[in-house]
Amino acid sequence: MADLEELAGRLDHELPDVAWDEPDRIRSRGRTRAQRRSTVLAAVAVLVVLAGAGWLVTGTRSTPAAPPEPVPATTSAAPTQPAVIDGSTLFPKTAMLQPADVGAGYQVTDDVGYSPGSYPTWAFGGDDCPAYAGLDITAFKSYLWFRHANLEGDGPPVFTEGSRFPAGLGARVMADIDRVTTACAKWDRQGGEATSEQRPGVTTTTYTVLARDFAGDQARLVRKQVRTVGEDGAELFEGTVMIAAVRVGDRVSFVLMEQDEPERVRLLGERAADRLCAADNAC
Amino acid sequence: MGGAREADFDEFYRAGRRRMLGYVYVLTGDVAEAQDVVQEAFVRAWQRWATVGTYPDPESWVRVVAARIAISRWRGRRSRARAYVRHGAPGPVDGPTPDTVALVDALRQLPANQRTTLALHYVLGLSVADIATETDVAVGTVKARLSRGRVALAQLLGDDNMAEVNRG
Repeated sequence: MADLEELAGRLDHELPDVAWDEPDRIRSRGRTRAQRRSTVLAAVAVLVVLAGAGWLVTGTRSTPAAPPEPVPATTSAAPTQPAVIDGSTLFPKTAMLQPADVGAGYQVTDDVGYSPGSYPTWAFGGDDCPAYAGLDITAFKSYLWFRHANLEGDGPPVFTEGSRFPAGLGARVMADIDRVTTACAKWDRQGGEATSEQRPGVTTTTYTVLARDFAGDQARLVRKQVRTVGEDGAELFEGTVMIAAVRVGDRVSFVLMEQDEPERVRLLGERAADRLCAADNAC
Repeated sequence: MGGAREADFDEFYRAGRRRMLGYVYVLTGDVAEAQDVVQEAFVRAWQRWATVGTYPDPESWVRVVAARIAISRWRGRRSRARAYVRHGAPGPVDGPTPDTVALVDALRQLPANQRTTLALHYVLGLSVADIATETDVAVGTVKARLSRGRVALAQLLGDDNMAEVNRG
């Protein structure tokens, strides 16, 4: 499978030599468009003048002309456009962990909401664990609204994710965490980002559940560790992600921090559960 | 004077178009469409060349414009047909290998901000700091997008090499 690290070289070699427009053609297109725009602007100016004159004529009427019918908001040039989903009610921003929950000086960045089906993964997905595929993990894909945001400040960044699910599926997502952390408690694989052909190694990944049901309706505190060791025994890479997952009703929040600070992440998980509770007085 | 300005732009276009093609191909997944987007971005650059040509890094301006064009849904629905009209049907040329196509297809399933960040980093080799400047977000946001994008890609590809903790 192609590797991101090789992508630039692959594209350089594999993309065909396309027949580029000559530079004068590019410049010509720019010039033509500028002229066309000038013509349109001139035409608009004429229309504005004429409309103004028309107003002078019709303005003497005792009954003004009826305004045009408002166009329904749902009518557009693209009638196949899906209905707009109001993420602000399905998973409001206020239901996410807030900067004040993390510490002074933190602020929200990269705050993005996603409509159903548009976000392809979850906090326990994307792993190369051999057992993962057989688990047939699908509940996370059924979200009604997904949102992620970062909380960044002077300390380590905190990554947050939140999803609203159809009735009952939030509990299935929590059950899927248990299935992944059990089936993928530990696995090895050759390679890893810190390795290369010249510096081969083996990467060991572990999931460890540190606490359960400490907040909300359900909760998990999980440590994910990744360690890559070269053939000579030297450590090439070591990383830890602490993950707090909390569920309140049909909403699930994840709090992730790339620091091995379980107590702090557990506390953040408790606060995330409080935010879920407060979002619609669910608790 | 005008001749020098034109020569300046022509050299800029010739030097940058191929590099830009790879970047936009990752965003669109279609070579003909990518070519159309790249040329359109350069058309717009020429329209503003009096200003853009004075920037320290005019290619950065073209990248931003090309990315906006490429990820626009409006463009996505129509440019394929327009590219077809302009360039004809895609010919039976040797193109990207199935592995590269699979990777680019997976990239295209990512949210636009992650896809653009990964393309800037892995295709054009921009640093996290440069991407932060170019996309007008915090460095931490770029790191998060890279990390999330890699994880999502790994899931989409079932790949052995990409799922990894963000290296910082």
